[in-house]
Amino acid sequence: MWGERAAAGFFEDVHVLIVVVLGMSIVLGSLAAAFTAHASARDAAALRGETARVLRAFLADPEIVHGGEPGLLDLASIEGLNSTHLAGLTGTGRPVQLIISERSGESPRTFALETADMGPRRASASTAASVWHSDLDVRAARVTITLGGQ
Amino acid sequence: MNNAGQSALFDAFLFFVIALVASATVLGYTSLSLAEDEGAARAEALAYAEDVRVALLRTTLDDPWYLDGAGERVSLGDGVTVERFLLDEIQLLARGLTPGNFAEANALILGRANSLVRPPFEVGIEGSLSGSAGMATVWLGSGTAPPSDRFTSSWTYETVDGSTATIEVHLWWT
Repeated sequence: MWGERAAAGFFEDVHVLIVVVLGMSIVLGSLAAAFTAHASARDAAALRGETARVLRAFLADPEIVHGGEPGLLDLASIEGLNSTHLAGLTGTGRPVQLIISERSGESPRTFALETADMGPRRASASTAASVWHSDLDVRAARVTITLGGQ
Repeated sequence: MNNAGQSALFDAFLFFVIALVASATVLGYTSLSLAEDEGAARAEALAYAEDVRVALLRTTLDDPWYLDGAGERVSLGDGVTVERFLLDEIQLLARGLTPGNFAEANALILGRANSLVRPPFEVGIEGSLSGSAGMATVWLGSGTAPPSDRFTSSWTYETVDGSTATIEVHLWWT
């Protein structure tokens, strides 16, 4: 019934089976790891690109800038900025956080606005801009936009 | 183990080695494709240098001053931009004043620039004048000149006497 090799033939094949299963597991595991890493990197890159786009849109927003000059933010417009307007810049419904930190002038100010809870996945983009207080008082500032993932 | 069994085990080990090589190839390719594109990073740094230059040069200074040839303090009043001050400075340097005459305002400008620029960048500002009005150069930053691997945003101005003034903002990774 067991044939020429009897029961020992099966136990000899177990070694072969283990080596093959181990090899297949390594290949499938590495493929899964590569796919996961690639997918998360693609999502992160897309979020970073979107964040940079929102930052540029903010710095050129005609309702925010002074005299139509990109990067020259009007103080009154910043003070009157609300989360609805900020959320409208993204056009995707993602939560946004804006921080404008003045780096010059008497009593430098910091403005912060957030549309919703940012969540664990997020990307930031930051650049230099100016805040117009008056023609005699234009202050350098760091502008940072953080976008939450979905 | 008979000959057939040994042959099967050999085939299995051969398959195992091929599986290892294939896995290493897949993981190596993935890690290479995930590495940050250096070209994109440099383009981003150049755009940032441009933003820093524009923001810094239109920043106003609170009553900046310098010392004239006689050592007298010359106050320029509020509302003078960094750009205007640097352009005046390099023209006055070409006429014989020294960087020491502008040390206070230069330190203030460099402080503003350092405060504005985000890590991991370091900033330096260079101004130069060439033409009939003479030649002059001013450097605001650490060391005596920017490193060779840097990101520069520059702007050139024509002065009324036909000379050419240039203001450059350099950023480099620390």
